[in-house]
Amino acid sequence: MKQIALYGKGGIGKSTTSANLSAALGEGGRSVLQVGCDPKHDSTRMLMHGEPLPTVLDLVRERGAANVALEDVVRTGYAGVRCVEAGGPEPGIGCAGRGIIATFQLLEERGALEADVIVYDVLGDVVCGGFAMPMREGYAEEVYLVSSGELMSLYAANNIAKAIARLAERPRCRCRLAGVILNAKGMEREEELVRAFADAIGSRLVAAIPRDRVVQLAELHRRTVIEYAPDSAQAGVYRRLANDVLENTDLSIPRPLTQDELESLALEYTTL
Amino acid sequence: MSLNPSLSNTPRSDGCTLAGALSVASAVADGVTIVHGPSGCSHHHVSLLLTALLDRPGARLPVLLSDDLGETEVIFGGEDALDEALDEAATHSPGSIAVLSTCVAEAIGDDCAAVAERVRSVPVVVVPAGGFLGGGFYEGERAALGAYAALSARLPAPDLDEGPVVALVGEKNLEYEADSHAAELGRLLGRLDLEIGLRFVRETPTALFGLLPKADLLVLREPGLGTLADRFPVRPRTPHIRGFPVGLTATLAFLLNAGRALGLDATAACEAEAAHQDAVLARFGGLSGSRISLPAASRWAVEVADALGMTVHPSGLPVPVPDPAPVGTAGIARLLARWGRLL
Repeated sequence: MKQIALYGKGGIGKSTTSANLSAALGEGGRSVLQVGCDPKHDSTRMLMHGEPLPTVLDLVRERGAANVALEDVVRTGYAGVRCVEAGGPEPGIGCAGRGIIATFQLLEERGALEADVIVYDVLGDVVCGGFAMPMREGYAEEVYLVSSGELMSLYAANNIAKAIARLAERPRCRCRLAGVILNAKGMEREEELVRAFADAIGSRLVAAIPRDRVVQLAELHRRTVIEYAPDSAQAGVYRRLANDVLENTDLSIPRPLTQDELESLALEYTTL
Repeated sequence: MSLNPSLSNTPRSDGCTLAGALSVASAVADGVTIVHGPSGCSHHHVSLLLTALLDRPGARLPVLLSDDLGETEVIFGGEDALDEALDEAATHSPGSIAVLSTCVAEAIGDDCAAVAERVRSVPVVVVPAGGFLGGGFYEGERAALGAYAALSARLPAPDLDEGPVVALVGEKNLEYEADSHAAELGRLLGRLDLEIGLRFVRETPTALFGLLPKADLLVLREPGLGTLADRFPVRPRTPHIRGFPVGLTATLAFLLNAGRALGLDATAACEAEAAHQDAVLARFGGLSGSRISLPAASRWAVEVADALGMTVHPSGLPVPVPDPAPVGTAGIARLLARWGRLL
């Protein structure tokens, strides 16, 4: 069983990448579970054709954890991908990080965390211990950083690399960096920059996903690209990513950059 | 921190911010206190409080509620639970309700003040009491006193007989001798024909807090409360006496300072109290000539020993000096009785 997590800056395309990755893996005959770890609970929307899932935490709040069964929270979407959304509190209240911890505990107690590949799609940056929990507690053994070439996106990726490096010092922590995925914004020399960033932190660029209108079209039709445009070049990119993820054994403990190093790197690849 | 684990090295006034806030809020005679946090957190501190109250036969048991925050509230916020607890508290028909927050409520950012501001028939005070913020017992005590002081400005002043209002501020409610100290101050003030108009806060009904802004003299339990009292909603230049009197001279000075603050001639009161002190010392004349040793910091105790003709020397018999120190002449009499049993 492979347990992978996609981390990155908010809005960078983690959910789109996760859903297409899961779809490609499912299409290839793998049993896949995708767990959305974001209070806005839209990670699996495309896999579920827009059908909103009852979130784990909403049901816990309504019924109490003891009265939440696996079939209440796990639904099967495109290509047989099983989908779960953790959910969380309304913005500005409560502790979403603790919600992630509670969700994982419930899923594990119910025996849900079984599949050839489990894909965790985790909210934005590592904002607190709760969002680091999938890494810390050994759920996410292979972490992929999703980033564009924008400085803030690289900054968030570097922060996550810091968290992995810190957690990797703990004897029982099996979490490692598996690579960087470029979700391109179409910037000049963007792939070069993100590849250089990946190298600099002791990892590698595993995929460069180009910006393509078909992604937006697929989302408007509530489908993954794999389903909406299976013969498109973009679908091919996601399938190659799925293969790379399955075969990837190149795991590392990252060496995060200092702020100055990161800014210098970005400057090097920016045309002034 | 003391590494000596004996009980005597475990004063009740150390510990969590919540315990300090609770020591004040639970002393509101017609108040209900809600501890906004996990029930275990409440249990721990309430147990401490009740243990202290057991020392005082007949003591009123305060009404304390917990809104029992659990994991669901931590994830989704505990404000709804607090709202329900406030409704429950109101059914006890209290004069006021205190909401004491805890670490977890502060950590998840519950806005207790906003919940408390919803229209209710009972005034609500909110005391941030999360111990992880770095404070201890005293910070909790002061935060609670500050919250009730702010409330006092919103309450009408009760009708009282003519005469200056003297307010005791910040009595240590977990102190075994708290009422003895207040009684002694009442006796001393009586020599100036004054009474204690407000005990802020000890067994005080909420309506009486309205007296604080009208106070003519604040008598602070300890000098450290001065900074807090400076922010009380009292009239400008309301005089403070910073600390209950400890020692023979300090007790007489208390009378002089109280008289001066209120424009009264305290000469006769001082003379009468000095004569009373002489009589007390005479009762313990048998201690004269004893050789004792005292902790270095207790100059007031040295003064008492000198007045009795005792010899203070490091080689003398160590005698106890309580902490906190005894208040007024009555406190000295209790101390001498204790020394007398040892000598």
